[in-house]
Amino acid sequence: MSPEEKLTRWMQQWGTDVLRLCRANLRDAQLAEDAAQETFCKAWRRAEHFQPASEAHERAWLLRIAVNVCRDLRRSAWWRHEDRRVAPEDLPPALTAVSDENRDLAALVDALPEKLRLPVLLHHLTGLSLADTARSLGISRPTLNKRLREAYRCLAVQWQEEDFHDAEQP
Amino acid sequence: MTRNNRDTQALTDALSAAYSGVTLTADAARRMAGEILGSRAGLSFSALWQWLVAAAVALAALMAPVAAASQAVL
Repeated sequence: MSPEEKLTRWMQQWGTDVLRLCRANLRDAQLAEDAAQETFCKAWRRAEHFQPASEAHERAWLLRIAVNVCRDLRRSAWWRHEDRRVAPEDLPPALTAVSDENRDLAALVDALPEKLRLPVLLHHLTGLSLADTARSLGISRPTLNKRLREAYRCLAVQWQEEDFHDAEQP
Repeated sequence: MTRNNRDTQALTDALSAAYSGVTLTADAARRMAGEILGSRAGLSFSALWQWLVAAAVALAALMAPVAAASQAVL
């Protein structure tokens, strides 16, 4: 299969996964498209030298590139001066009906610090296995488990606080 | 997580639902692929551009004595 054919197949099979990860990671629709394109561009340049063991391996490889592309973007100087927190209503419009509860929970994930948010996004949004998630982030499995536990704990605390504020409102 | 979202499956469901509207459309994929594959043409354009600059410099060097001579005549 030529690199061009590979590029087309990747985009058809995993384009949406890559775009969703970039969107959830960068919180900006236009930047996410740019990041997705950069991800496929980098993958295409390496296509000839990359021999995946399986489709899952190939998908995890693409998502790992996407994580790095997003990380590079966030490291740029201008990025740090932007407040990119999103409210639940600012999340992308969904194709299917999304309950308020789910939107609130997605917004809480969005508010997590990057160190905790990325493992959650990779494992729960893209469905990567724990092993592939750890590999994509360049961390060990115990470290990943620790970060996920911490993320769940933060979400639980914030969710309870939301419950409290909701109950306070008349 | 309290309420109904007590387990991690609920987290998966919430994120999947919240981002279900984000899809790479066929048009966007075609545009991206076109730009990525077109970047190869960009490389040859860059080589052509370098060649044109080199040619312009050589021509300017060639024309310098002619310009000096015509200045002397004037």
